[in-house]
Amino acid sequence: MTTHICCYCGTALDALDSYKTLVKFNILNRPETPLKIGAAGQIFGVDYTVIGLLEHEEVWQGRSWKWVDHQVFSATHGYAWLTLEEGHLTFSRRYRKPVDWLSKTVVNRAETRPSLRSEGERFKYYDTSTSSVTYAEGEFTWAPRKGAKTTTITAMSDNAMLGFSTTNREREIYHTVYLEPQEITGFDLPGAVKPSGIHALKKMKAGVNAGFLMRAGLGSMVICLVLAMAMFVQNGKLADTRLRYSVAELPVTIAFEVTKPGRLTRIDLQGNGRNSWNYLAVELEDPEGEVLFESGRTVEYYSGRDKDGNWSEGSNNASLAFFPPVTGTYSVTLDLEESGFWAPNVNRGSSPQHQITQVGLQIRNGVSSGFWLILLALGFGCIGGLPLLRRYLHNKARWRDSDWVDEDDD
Amino acid sequence: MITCDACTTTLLLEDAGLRLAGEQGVLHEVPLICQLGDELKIGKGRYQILGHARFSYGRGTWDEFWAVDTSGEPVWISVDEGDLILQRELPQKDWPEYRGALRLGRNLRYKAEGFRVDEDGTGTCVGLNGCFGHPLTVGETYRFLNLQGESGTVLSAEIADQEAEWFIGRWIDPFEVEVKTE
Repeated sequence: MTTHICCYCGTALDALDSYKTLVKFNILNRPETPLKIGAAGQIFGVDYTVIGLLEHEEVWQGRSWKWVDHQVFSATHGYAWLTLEEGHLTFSRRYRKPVDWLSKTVVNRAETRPSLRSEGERFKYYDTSTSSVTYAEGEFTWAPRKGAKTTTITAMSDNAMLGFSTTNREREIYHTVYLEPQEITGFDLPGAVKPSGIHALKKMKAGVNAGFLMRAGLGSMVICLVLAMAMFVQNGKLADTRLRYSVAELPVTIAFEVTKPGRLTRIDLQGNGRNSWNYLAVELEDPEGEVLFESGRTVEYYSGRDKDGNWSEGSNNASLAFFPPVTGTYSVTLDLEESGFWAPNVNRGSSPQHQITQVGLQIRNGVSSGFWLILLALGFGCIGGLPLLRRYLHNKARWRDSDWVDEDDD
Repeated sequence: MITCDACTTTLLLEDAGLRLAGEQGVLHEVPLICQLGDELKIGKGRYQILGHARFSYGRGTWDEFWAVDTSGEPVWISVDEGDLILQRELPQKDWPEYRGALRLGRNLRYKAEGFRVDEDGTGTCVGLNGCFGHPLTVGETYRFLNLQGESGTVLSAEIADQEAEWFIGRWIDPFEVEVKTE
């Protein structure tokens, strides 16, 4: 302790030199704070007493921010600062572990966000701020001067912030952590100080099962995807039919054998049109000659070229699937029911348009579909992704006030 | 050197026996992170506190604990208002070399690290308790220098009667000290 600032008259006295007057602060400007000088309590289980108040002001682009740092002292753990910002409490102490120095020059010259390592923790540049002392009261290990400007450069890790500042030609690094309500007791703190917003140093309160949910959800998603892939590669047995039919032949009835009843059977259709749509009617009869269903599929394919380059839309492939109830010879009747051009009046010299001239047909019995497994995988992905998304959003909010701008973001 | 709590004398252990070294002084109870007899766990190291000395620098005091690590090597742990430094004595061949006088603010290089003299003061021994690796006398005044290194190393010199001793070590975070009281 070197300086005592009287709480009655605001005079700073030199505790090292017969309490000689150093500077006078106007006590009428005393900031409002729930932490009073002399209040005692515990931080991380260690006894501390508030011994000084220091109000800082930062002015940037015509706006001003003020906050109060409270100098606290512990007989066993030394000096520290307690800061209250919009209901959030942070705790700062001198940092004396080996770490590189982060200067304004380093930050200004950097092309990517500067970062440094200390004790296995990675700190990334957060912001640069210049503040001045507007009010001081109590006891300090140095002599606060009114209006004295200090520039602090901060870097943040997942858990803490390092603040690099130079005062009186001495380099100082402070380490700041967030104080959860259970980590600080006493100090006559009002019970219901509801913090607003997300403080940069606030750790995310993940649900107790968030880790399990994430691993279980993402794990199950992977399992479903693997199973779905396994289903998709089981392509069944190709029925022995002609594979291509000219449109001129339509309508055509094709007989095919089903050897595995009750197993999914898929009819794949393929057209060869360009910039046209074609509706193929499909009728299926079972071995008894009974109509199982009448249906149809549209094959349509459009392509062209615009200022963004080549584009295409739609597909010349279509398929429909059914469950054959018994074995035997089924017959499918195929007809081109309707067709048209996409834009009949447009000069399409650059991109030819024609209707289909040929229909490709493949019938497979005993195929598997991974469709439902893909849906299930999506569901699991949402469950597992939620904690990840929350973490991402929380981190985004933590870094929101950082003044670093990547050159690519401009 | 050992102190006797019963008669408050300090005794110097020498080859031939004991020699009276002086008074023990009084160590008033003040809250400290550790005390004589405690075992400290700092990182991977364990230190048994065997001696406790207090020095006055006028407006206050600081405490020095003499301890041994698990291999029996001595260390000093100095405690000043919650600031902790753990240091070992440097053998004379490893002392920093410099010309002229070391004054406040002076820079010097030692083993590829830049150091600056941050503190230059005097301390008077006001109390002793336990045993120490070398003699200390209550009432004797020592000059001390603290040099802060760029990479966190702390070099200290203790000068009494033109005789210097050098120590090297680092700052200790009090929140990382585990104290086991016996």
